[in-house]
Amino acid sequence: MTELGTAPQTTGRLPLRARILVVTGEPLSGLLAGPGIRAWEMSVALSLSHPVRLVSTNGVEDISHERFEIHYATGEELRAQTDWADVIVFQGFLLEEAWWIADSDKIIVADVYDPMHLEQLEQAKDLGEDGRRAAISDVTAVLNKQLARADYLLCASTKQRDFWIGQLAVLGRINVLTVGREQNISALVDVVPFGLQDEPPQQRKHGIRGVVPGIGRDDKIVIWGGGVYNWFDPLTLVNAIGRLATRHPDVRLYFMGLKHPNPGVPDMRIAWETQQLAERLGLVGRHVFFNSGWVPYTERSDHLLDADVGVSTHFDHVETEFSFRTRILDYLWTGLPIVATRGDSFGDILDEEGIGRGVPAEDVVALEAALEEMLYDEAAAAEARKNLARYAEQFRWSQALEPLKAFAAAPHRAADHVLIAPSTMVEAPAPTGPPTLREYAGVLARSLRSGGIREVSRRARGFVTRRWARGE
Amino acid sequence: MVSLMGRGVVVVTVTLAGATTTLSDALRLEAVSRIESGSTEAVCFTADGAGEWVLAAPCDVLLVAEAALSGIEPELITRISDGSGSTDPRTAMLELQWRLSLNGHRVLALDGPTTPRPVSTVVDEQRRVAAILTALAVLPGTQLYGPLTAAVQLYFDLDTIGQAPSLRESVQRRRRVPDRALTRLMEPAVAHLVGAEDRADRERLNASFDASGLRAVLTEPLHVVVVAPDTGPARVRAEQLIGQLDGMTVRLVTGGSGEILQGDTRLDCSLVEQPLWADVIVLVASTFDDVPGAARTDVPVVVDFSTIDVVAWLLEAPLSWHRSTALQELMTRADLVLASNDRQRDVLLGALAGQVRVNAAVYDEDPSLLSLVRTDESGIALADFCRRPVRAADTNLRPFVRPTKPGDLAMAMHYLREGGPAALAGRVAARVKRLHTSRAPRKTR
Repeated sequence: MTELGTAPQTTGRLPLRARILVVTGEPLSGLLAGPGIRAWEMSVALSLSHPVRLVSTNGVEDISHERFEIHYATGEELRAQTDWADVIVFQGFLLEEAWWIADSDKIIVADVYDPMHLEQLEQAKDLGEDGRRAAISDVTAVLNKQLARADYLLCASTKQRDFWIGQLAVLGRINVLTVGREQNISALVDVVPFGLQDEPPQQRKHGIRGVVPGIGRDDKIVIWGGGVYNWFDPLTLVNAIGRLATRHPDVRLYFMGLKHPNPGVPDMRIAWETQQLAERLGLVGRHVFFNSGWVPYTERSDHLLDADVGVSTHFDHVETEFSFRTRILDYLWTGLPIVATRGDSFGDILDEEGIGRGVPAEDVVALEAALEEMLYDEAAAAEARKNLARYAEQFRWSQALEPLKAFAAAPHRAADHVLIAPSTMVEAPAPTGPPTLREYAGVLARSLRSGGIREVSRRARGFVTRRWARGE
Repeated sequence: MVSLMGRGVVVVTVTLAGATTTLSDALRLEAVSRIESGSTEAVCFTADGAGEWVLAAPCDVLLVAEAALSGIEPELITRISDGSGSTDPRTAMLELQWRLSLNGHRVLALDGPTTPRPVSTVVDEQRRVAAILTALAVLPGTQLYGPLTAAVQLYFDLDTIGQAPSLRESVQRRRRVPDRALTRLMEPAVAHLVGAEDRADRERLNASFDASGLRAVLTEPLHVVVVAPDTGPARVRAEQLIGQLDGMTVRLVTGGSGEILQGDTRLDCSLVEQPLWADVIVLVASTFDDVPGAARTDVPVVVDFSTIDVVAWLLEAPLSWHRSTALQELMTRADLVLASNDRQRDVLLGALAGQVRVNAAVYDEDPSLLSLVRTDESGIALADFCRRPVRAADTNLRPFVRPTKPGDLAMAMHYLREGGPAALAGRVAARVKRLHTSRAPRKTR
């Protein structure tokens, strides 16, 4: 095993088995959410044929794997980890935290399966007008930086890929050097959908039935897997459950997690409104149940296998169009018939593939009818379960990660980065002016929090060096 | 003011101070459903409202999409609702409708109950003056300022006209619709604003329009500049568009030869004059290089890529043509982008998102984003846009101040003032403890 801090040769030929660093901004523990799961599964798959390290910049607790090391790293330790790697696969805000990577000759794989700037359109509504504008502008700048620097990019669907092609195009990254005249887009950005665990789900104990007070062993359970965020529409669902309960007293809706394991994900307005609505309709504890925490990743099958139907409802807007609902993958994995709003990657194929029912956004009556059919029409539910088993195969992690494994087997810098001087590339728009004194102070405070005095000192040295180099 | 929660659209009811009319549930529901469907952004109820678009009509109740009010000062709504301020609430209601129109929102007039406006030629003179000042502020364009000033001076012998410029400047800075797109609706609206409700007053006003030359300005058709290549599908598309724009003055600029055609006539004028002449510019498979200066104008710009595959277009040109830069400029400035199919729409949406054009202002006005980027095989959306051109919702946004949490230094000063060094030391110790606690469970394997 390579020692921490020993840098590989990054010029000339790479070693046969490139050293791969997978970095996530999610905390790594038993309570994994979407991005953490994806980083974990990438590490599992890549470690079959490469030395791999999985790093979280947000904490590591009680989690390990026999084939790869797991680290919590910021500041100097993060630098040491990136120095070790030939290839760095990351999600989120790494280039802001590890600014030295952008100017290095490391091979960078940006995992942009989450169009974060579109998400901010809804998520940042709670920040006020200026806060929302700042959030959208800042996150766009973060993504542009990744797209401009990455040697290879991963997204979750072909629709997302078209979207990223456009954003790459205005940065000058769609050119004959990256994709060739034959338009081989996959050479620059490829599709790695969120995957399903290869192992079948197992129920070690009941997570909901007979366990949650108010939910009996024979009740019909609709499960909301995952968090409750502003772009979702649980309000229509609660209304539909309220109507359904008048005809079917045994219907139960269970929200699997209100509190995201990443403390950086804010509590959202819609979660509070949902609880208020359920309370107002007198459904809480009778037909609607909230888990105020988060179900551990390894225990989620105990909950999912207790359910009869998986549900996902959202508002009809642009975030929806390009989203890839990871909770739907859990429904596929556990064979749950799905009822979801149309308009995203999965909502539109539910009826077509016979794995559930798609309903229009905010349509209480249609949602009620779809839930009733999937819960109480035994033949329809059985047919959906049969189709689910067939449809789910394509999403196994082992299948989904093939493009990344192929790139890792022959990693390389993007040709335009090597052959075109950076100054001739199109610059991303600068949404804000030069940093203010206050923003410098913010960087100082964050550095102090993340890496202590050493990190502040290192950043200060870097700042002075860069200014010196520019002759300022 | 009452807010109704519709399907994703918040509809606000603006009621005139002191109005005694009550709106029936049926009328209110009709207005809400029209706003929710997106067919209009505001509905006013007025005598003889015939379901037609207006700039401003006298009414007691206006229903308006909350998002459309984002460019309007709350103080104006307050003036209408509680009658505060120097302008009478009826004038303020007219001003609100007119400003909604200038900001790119449509106002539909439906037949409904209103309190008759008291018509007085002497007693209400002060209100009329306020209305005229309002008119000067909300009337579009600089070229109308002179003739209208002359008109109202003929009509009223007004010597307080100098009060209008600052309000005018503020209104014009936010506007999103070009002058000539609104002039067709302007004459009756001006009459309402200046209180010319009876026949004699209308005749006097008409006479002043004629005498001042304002009539010609009010009837001038929209100017459209279409830029297209010399040949190929894009040229065919451009000519199809021109065929649909009856009643407008259209010029075709050919990208290759730089010719300027108006009908069958080749014009002997400069290319650089065209952006200044235009009320709307349509770039069909063209870039800003084909019509210099267009990117810097205030007029609505359509980027029509409906005959283009974006990736192929980028790759077919040598790198030295800098088509990525051209695309970036187009996406930064476009008010409407047209794509050839759904896949190309996704590509162009990504390009727009990279330029922060998929932002809160655009999204809140139209969450589907179809008003920013859409497919349009038939050319209907393109022709409609030319008839009713409007800048994108993120045009002329006020500069925003980056928000910050209360800074540590500010908090420290606060604690120092409140409780002295001991209080400050206590707060610092608590912060250190919290940070230590929050990091404690994290460890490296």
